[in-house]
Amino acid sequence: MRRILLAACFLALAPAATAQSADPPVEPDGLTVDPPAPEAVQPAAGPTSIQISPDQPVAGVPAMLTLDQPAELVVITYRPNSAIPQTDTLNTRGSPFTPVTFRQAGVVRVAVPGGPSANVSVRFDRTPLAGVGVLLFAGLVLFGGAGFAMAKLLEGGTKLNRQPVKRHPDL
Amino acid sequence: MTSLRAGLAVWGGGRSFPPSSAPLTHLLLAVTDGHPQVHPDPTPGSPPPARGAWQSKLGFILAASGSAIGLGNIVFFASNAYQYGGGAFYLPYFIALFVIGIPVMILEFSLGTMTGRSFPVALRRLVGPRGEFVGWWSLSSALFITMYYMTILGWALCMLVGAATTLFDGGTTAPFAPFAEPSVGPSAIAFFFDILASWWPLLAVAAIWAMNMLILWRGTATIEKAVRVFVPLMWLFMIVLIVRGLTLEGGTDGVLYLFTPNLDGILDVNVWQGAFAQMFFSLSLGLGTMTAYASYLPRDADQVNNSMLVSFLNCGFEYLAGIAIFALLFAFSLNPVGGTLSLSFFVIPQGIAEFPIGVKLFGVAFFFLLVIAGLTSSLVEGMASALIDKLEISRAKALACVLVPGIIGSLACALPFVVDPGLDGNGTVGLNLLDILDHWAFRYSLLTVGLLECILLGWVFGAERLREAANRHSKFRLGSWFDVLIKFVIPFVLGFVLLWNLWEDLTGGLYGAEWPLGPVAWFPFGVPLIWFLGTIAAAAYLTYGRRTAGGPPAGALPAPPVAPPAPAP
Repeated sequence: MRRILLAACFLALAPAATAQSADPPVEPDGLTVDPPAPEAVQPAAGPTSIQISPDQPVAGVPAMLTLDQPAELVVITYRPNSAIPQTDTLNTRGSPFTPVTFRQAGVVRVAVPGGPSANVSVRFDRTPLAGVGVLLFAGLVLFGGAGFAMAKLLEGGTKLNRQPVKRHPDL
Repeated sequence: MTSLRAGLAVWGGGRSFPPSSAPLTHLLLAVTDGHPQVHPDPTPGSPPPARGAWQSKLGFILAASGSAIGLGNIVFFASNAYQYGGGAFYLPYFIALFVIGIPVMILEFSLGTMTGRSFPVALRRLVGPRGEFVGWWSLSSALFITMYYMTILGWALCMLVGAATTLFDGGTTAPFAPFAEPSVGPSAIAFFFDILASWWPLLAVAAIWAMNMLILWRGTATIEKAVRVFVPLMWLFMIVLIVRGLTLEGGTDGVLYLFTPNLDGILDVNVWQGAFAQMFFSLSLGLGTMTAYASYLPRDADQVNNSMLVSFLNCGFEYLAGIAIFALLFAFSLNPVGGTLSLSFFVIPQGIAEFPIGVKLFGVAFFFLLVIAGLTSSLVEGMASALIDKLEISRAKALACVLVPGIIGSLACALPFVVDPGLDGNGTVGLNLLDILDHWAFRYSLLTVGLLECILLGWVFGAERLREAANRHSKFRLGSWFDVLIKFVIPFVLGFVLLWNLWEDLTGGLYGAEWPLGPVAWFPFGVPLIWFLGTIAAAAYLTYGRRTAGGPPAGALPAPPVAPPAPAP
């Protein structure tokens, strides 16, 4: 339960998280860039918020991802925190505005590595027949079964039999 | 003579004999365990029997389904389905329902009606003192679970009051580092931790215990009255939440998301372990309550049909709860993963806070649903009923025997002293105690009891004899497959899940050992030790230290049936 409580704390706090990297920037060839002189140090620029438009994008239809500061990569996780998450990486090429097409419907987490993250609900592009099938099947089994058993129960009326009943031979 | 005395005592609870003017047809006798037990005709005004008897079939079904449906049903299924592939989770879930859920329910119900006694005494009648020991161990452990369950209900009561007042206002703080600054908007998590660090939950816990005692005060009579109101209300509130969820933008997509199968994880052993364990917990098996409830039924009750009905109602409620929660959480892009506490107290209220209208109304309705779902679980009844059977004490005394240790434990789980302001652990003394106790008692005891009862009844008493007893009064005949399930399949599955849990604990380190608990750093090893030794000692004392009142000597099968004596003139 502890891990879950902490996860919930994270959930509550995550939108307010900020990207602050203590590591020096790294060039694409892997060489470390010397930090600038102390008088020239600026706060590390990084996105502090993620916005997706529309609020509930549709799977397979492009949406717009907006960062308040540019970032190189955005990680998209389908079914986050589940046993079967799937992750895609999106290269934003340093642009604060990036079109993104979600390939699956569901709850999706969009995160800048080491920075902010946001959940988004991606809607289905068309009604999933498998989902409707399971919905109906499960409902039929559970409520059909309950209805059938209830009918059997009430066949002889609602009163309980209080007549003496022969003992079971085991007792 | 002893039988006659016992029979008459059962009639009047040792207080008075039936009025001589009572018509003979009202004095309907059923012989139970060699003791004549008088079941008066349940007409208004007649004195209630000491053990109790359900007034109607519907009363029993409402009580048993109300007991099965608890806090866990509202959030467990949705959480597990999300984690393990949505609709794909229904495959292991249904297999678990038919392979474990319904058969063990039949077993526990049949135990009650065959003997007319509560869990440990019934097990003693069928398999001797070993069975009784298992029964008392189960109930002792259930008492530990009841302690923190009542605390959770106390928190739910506090949140209910909060929902009607300031829960959904902004500017909430709590005496923990992550919540030091006032929240910008409503923050259910900050509100919850603020409640947790106050003394209010102790008052709420006392109120919850008082409500529970009121429901159980006259046994079946008051339980039945309560469930006739509360259980339909639970269903009604759930339907209201569904309607609200489905009318939110994206709500229907949330429902389809819940049911659309993702087969990626279907071969993961965790999926199957999760489904089987959840089914056992969800149906409240291994707690003794189902056997106690069934013992208030006449001997010819159809326990196969009753088991199916209660199981389907329980799982149907979970199905509806899944729809409501997924619609709600999807609409607000909230992650539906978590345990009972986080989903019930932070995530769902946070979703409700986003409602355009009726925030307080739905907040109150949701927490009221939690409270009544918990109250109708009646976890105390299993132990109270067993004490009445074993010691032949009055219901008031039996309830007091449960109330005193129970309320002390519940209050301990609500203690607000902050031991971890950084929330690297769980924050307060009470929450840490609850968390560690839950980990051991809930994770191990119910499954262990299920495993042992299947072994004892399947192998020692004989699954075929049990099946024959169930078939005598059932419209659906159980085949020999039932014996195979009880003797082989269920013990194997439960044994596997238990070993899996144990393996995780052994390889993952002692649960809670790494938390910064300050003065209560002994909790991670002390609490499981107290739970284990306490339950073993209580079970040993009640099994071997106290003779079963009015019953046969330990280990002996009951005496042959005797002719029921005529009621006293």
